[in-house]
Amino acid sequence: MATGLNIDVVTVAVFIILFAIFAFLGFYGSKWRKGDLSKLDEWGLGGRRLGWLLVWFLLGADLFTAYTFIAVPSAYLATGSLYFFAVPYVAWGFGLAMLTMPRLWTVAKNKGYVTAADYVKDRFNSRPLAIAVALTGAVAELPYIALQIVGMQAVLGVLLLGLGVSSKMDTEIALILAFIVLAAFTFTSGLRGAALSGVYKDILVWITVIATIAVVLTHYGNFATALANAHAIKPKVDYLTLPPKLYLAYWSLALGSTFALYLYPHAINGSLSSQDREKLKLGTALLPVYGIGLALITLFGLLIFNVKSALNVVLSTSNGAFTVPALVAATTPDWFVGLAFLAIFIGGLVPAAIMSIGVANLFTRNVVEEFTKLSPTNEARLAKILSMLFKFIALAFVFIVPATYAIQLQLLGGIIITQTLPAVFLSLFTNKLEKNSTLAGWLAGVISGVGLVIYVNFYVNHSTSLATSLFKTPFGPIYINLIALGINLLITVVGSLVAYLVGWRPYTTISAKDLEEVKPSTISKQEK
Amino acid sequence: MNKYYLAIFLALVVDIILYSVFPIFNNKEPTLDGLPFFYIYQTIMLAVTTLIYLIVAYIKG
Repeated sequence: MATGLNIDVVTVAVFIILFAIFAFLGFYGSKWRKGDLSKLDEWGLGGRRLGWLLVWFLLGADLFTAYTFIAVPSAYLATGSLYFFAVPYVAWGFGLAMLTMPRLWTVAKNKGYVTAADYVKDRFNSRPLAIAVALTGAVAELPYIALQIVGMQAVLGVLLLGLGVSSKMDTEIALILAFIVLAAFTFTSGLRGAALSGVYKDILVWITVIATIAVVLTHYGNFATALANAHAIKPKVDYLTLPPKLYLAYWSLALGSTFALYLYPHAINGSLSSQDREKLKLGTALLPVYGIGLALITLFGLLIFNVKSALNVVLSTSNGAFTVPALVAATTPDWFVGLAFLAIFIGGLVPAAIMSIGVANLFTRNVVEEFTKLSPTNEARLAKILSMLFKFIALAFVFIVPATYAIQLQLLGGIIITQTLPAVFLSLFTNKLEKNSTLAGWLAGVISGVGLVIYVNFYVNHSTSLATSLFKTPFGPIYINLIALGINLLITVVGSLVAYLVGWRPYTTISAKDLEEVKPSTISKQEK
Repeated sequence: MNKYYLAIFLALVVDIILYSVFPIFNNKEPTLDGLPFFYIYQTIMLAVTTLIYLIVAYIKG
C-alpha cells in the first residue's frame, strides 16, 4: 500500500530537526520584545505592538492552515471545480476586513477592548448580547481547531504509512505528543510566539507549494494530462469549468465564508494586535497574495491524477485528507518530504495555537468575568488554562468526526459565527440597531442555520454524518449561511424599527468619533 | 463617514463583481500549461485584488 512514497529515516530526521527549530522559535518568541506576559493584553494581543509585516504573517497564518492544505484539496478532489470558491472567498474576505477591522481597531484602542464582545457590550449596553457573541465565537472556533488537528493527523498518517507502520494507534499517540508541545508552547509564549513561528512556517509552506508544483508539472505531465486522467477516472465530476447550475452554490459559499472570516475570534484578535491602524490596513491589503498559494494548493487535487501512486494512497484508504501529503511524498525526494510534512504539520499547529488563544481571551473576559471579577494576573492565568482546555475539547472532535467531512466542520462553524455579523460588523456603521432585536435576530439565525443543516443532512439526504452545507432552491443549491443571515437581518431590522416607533432611542456611549479617530490621550499613553 | 471607508466599500463591490461575471471567466480557453481559463482568471484576479486594496490602504482615515 505504501509503495511509491519517498519516506524513510532521512524524512523523519529532517522532520524532527525542523520541528526542534520551530519549538525553539516559539519559546524564544516569548522573550522577543518582551512584555509583561502575566497581563492578558500582553499574552493575548502581543501588547498591541505588531508591525504590518508581522500582522501580515499572523493573519496569513490563518490562511495557510489545514483548511488550505487538507480540507480544500480533499473537497476539490471529491467534488470538482465547486471548491475553487475558496479563491473568491479569500479575495472578498480581506476586502471586508479592510472595511470593518480599522474601525473595530480604533474603538478598541480608544476604549481598551480586547475582544469583539467587549465592544458589543458597550455599543449596545447589553450583557446578554455580549455573552451571546462570546459564546458563539467559542463554539464556532472549536470545529475550526478540530480541522487543524485533522490536518496534523493526516501528515503523521502518511508519514507512518510510508514507514510501513499503519496502526491507527501510532498516529494517535504521535498526535497527542505534538499536542502537548503545542499546549506548552502556547501557554508560555502567547501570541507573540505564535507570530514568530508563523513566519518560519509560512516560509517552509511557500517553498513546499512552489517546489512541488514545479516538480509535478515538469516530470509528471501538465494540467491538460491531469484533466484527461481525471475525466477517465471520475467521469461524473466536473473539473474543467463550473457547471452553470452550481453558480449560486459557488457564489454563496464564497460570500458566506467571507462574512464569517473576520468574525472568528482569532481573526479579530490578530487584527487588534496591530501597532497602528495604517499598519493594519497595509497588512490586510497584502493578504490576498496568500490566496495565490491557496489556489495552487487546491490544484494539487487535480495534479494528483498525474501521479498514480499518490492517487492510490488516497483511493485505497478512502481518505481525501491524504491528497496533498501523498502527492508530495510520491513526487519529491525523501529529505524534501520531511520539510514539506513539517510545514503542513505546523500549518495546523500554529493556527490551532492562535485560535485557542482567541477563544480563551473571549471566554475569560466575556463569559467568566461577567459573573466574577478577576485580578489581571488571575485573568491571564485562567485564559492560559482555558486555551489548553479548548484544544483538548477540539482534539476530542477529531476522534468523533470522519476526516473526509473536515471542510463541513469549517462550513458549519461559518454558519454559526456569521450570525454575530449584525452585532459586530453592522453596529460599526450604525447605532440604530436595538439590543433585544439584535439578540432575537442572532438566536433566529443560529437556530435556523443549524436546523437547516440537520434537516438537509439527516432528513432529506438520510446521511449518517455531516456531508453538505447547501440547501436546494429553484435557482440551484445555496449555502445555508446566507439563508440564516437573511432571517437574522430581517428580525434585527424589523425589531429595531418597531422599537424605534414605540420610543426607543439609540444608546450612545460610543460616539462616531470613537470609531474613526484615536484619542490623543491614548497615543501619549502608548509612547510613555 | 470618511473617504477611506467609502473607497474600501466601493473596492469590495468592484471585487465582488469581478468574481461574479461567470460567463466571462467560466471558460475552458485560453489555457496555460493546460489549465483552463476558469482557474487562471480567478488566480490572476487575486493579484489585481491586492493591487486595488493596496491603493485604498494608502488613503488616510
